[in-house]
Amino acid sequence: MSEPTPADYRKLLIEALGSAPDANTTGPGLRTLFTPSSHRLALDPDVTVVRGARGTGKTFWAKALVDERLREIAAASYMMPRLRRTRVTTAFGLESEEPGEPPFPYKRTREKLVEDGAAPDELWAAIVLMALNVPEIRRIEGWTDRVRWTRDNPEAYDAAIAAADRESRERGETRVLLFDALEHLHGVREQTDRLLSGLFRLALELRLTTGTLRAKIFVRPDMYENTPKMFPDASKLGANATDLEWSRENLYGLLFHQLGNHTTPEAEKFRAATGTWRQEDGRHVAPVDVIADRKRQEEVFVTLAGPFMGTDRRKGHTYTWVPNHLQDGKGRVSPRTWLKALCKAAVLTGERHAGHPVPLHYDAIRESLSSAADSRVAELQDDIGWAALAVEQLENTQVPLQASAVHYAWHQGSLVSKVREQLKDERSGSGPRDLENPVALLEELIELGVMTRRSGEAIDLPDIYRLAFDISRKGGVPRMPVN
Amino acid sequence: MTTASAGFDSSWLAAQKVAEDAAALGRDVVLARDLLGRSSLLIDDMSERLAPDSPELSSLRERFVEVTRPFTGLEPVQTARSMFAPELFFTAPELTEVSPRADGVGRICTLERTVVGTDWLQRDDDSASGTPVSRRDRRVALYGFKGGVGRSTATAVLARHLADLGRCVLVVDLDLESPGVSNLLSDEAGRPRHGIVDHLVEAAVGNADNLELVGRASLLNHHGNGEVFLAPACGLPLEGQTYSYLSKLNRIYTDLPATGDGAPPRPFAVRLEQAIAACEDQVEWLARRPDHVLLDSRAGIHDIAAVTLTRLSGLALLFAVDNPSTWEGYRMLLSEWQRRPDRARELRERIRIVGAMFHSAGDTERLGVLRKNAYDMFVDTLYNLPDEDEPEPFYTPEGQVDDAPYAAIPILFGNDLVGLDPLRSRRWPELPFVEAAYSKFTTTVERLLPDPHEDA
Repeated sequence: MSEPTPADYRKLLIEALGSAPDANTTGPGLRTLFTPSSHRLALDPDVTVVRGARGTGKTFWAKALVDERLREIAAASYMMPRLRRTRVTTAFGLESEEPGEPPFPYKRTREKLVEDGAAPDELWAAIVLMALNVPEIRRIEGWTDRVRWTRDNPEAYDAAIAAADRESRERGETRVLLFDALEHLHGVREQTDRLLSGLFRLALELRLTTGTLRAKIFVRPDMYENTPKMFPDASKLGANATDLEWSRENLYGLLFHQLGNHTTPEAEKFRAATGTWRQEDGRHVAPVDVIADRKRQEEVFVTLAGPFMGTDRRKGHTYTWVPNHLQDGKGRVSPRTWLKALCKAAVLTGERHAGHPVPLHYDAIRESLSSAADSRVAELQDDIGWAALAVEQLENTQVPLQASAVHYAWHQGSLVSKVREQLKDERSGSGPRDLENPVALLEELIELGVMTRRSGEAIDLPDIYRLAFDISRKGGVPRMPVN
Repeated sequence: MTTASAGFDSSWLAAQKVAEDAAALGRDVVLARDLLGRSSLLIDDMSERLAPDSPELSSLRERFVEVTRPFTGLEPVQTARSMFAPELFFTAPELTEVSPRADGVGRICTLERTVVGTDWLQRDDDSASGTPVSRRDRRVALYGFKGGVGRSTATAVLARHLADLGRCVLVVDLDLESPGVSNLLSDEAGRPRHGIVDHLVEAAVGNADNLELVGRASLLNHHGNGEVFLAPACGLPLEGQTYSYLSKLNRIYTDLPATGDGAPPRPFAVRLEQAIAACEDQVEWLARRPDHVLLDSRAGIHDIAAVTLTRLSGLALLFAVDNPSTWEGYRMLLSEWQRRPDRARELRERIRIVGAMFHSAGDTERLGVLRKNAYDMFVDTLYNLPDEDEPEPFYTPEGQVDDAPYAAIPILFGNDLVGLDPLRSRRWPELPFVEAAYSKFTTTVERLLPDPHEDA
């Protein structure tokens, strides 16, 4: 096979990454399912809490677990035979992938139930019974009556749980109930915390009282931390929790996996140029050093992007520069942003530096950051809308800023009333913990990784959020509108 | 006859004489010795009853009491028919035959009832013990005659090393009296609700099915598809539940009589085997079949160590610090086997010495000296057996042998390790000096283990 040309690779980068997996719209695919080693425990049926920031793959794994073929891939690739003996049901999510009535009430109904005084544990108990398909509750019309029935019949609840446990024990299976999209539980943060607390308690109870029924809760780390857990044995919840993280090796592994699993001849050339790939369950699996070895990964990436972010090493090494500049304030890189940035860099190189000897030109990479920031902020708007609004108020300023200047900008921009307005939307996530208090608001943004605090108390923004707005920084990557 | 000089040893000799006379009357006898060294004569009268008030029995009793004083058992002479569970004595696997049954003369056996010791000589192919070879070969015992030589730390490091290779590892904390490895492997909150002691007491009454015996070793930060599970000695109860560890510990060493429905009696060794097998089965359910099971045994001469080394494991790593008292201890322990050459020959294939806390700095000869001392100890005990037809093992003066039991595997010891507090720095196994200290140990042991299961 002929050596792939820069143009071949550019085409591959654009096509393979252009349709980067988006769990909320396209869902995980058979070929594109990448299994980073650090995500292994998230799939274990006994791991109750899976913490992951926005865009780290919570919904992705929730969807992959429900899909029998994808679960089989995960079972084989992670050496987890138990996943083959597992039945998975979505008990709570943004929407239900199955036909018929979902096992959970939609947001307006939830908020109404809470307003009418439904206790969190009663609501979750009813949801669990619905997810387990218990006939007595499926027969009841409407959530108000379901919650009431659960409250009035504690014995029936216990009996139904025991029966479900017995049934899956007889099948030799574990029954996993998934809870995802919990940032959409309730518009008012206090209520979200209350509801979450009830869910954690019930999940732990299932684990401690049944042998085969397990809840798996995908939740943002900040929400997990701040939810009160004032119930017995709560420490056991944290002890077997896990985090969805993307190390630099994982990000490059994901990139190479996407490139090698595209359907075109260019992908075949890429595989041939990077060692011996295995064919497994309908997807191509890269040699282990391409997925996990830093040195080998850099070699491969240099063939795509060249070694330096300029003409020599003083401008930085591409291998570390790109992920570093996509980090949020907590050092996290969203895998989707990562793939989108490299896709955009390929497009820009094709348009402006077509004769460049490697597929990606360093100037194009630098320019692609702005569009990566745009897509990152779009993600933020979906889930933590108030945080995006808070950053937006800083437009036309220059960071770092003193905290008081940030507070002033929020005041000038009437942030509080804007957030209130936004929270009325059915699809918006929860609000901040304390909207009225700018100091608390700032702390929460730092906790979320949207802002950072520098030495000397000045407030800064990571590029991945700053570049989406007209906010400048001395010495930073300049904001460049690219379209 | 004078009994003035009767002491531990002479009383035992005298008891044996009476036993011979009793056997001469045609019945099998067992001469049992209890924890304090007091002996009792047990007579098998199952086929032909011996009345409790028969002159024959009265005269034996009188003489036996007379000659064994003050090491006389509480019930000096008993008949099988008068006993609660005679099979525990007459068919006990740890019986040692002194003379076989012959024309008109009964068999004479001795039975040592001690807290420690008997299990060192147990056969492991008894149907009662029931450790399938496939399970046994996957188990590694880590044992030190003396404590405080870094055995538990080495167990944790080895577990992590194997997990990094993608293996599924179970660590069983058998240091029931001072659980140690558990704290290195997991947070309290991640501890299962039950421990090995719970299985031992619950299984005794047939109630062991719903125990939570294993949990993930959350503190070992390994990578890839490996797994490390921990079976602690002691469980962590839920809030508000009582958990009385000591009362359980006091009850675990008992040998249990047969339950009646055809099941064999369960001596301690079998009970421990069943507890470990239950942990292995739980790991298989939760994850996959364990590739390696590390048994962190306790130090000293003890039943748990005895059972673990001789019956439950396929590889026994004996931790040794190069000093005279260590070698004396091992010499004492291993020389027990000279009485059972067949077992000794088999056992020596499964033993490796580990040079614990090995100071290598400045002296390249040291490892050779350590190996020479280990070699001498082995020659005195497990080699040079009666009816030995194998030649004595070869020893090179430089100690350049790598696959013999006495070829001690060094764990380096340096000043950095002195200040190491695993409970304070969680990522201690990743520290460069820790990796350096243990690399020879982990890579050598890795090569002594069976390949991982292929059906994961």
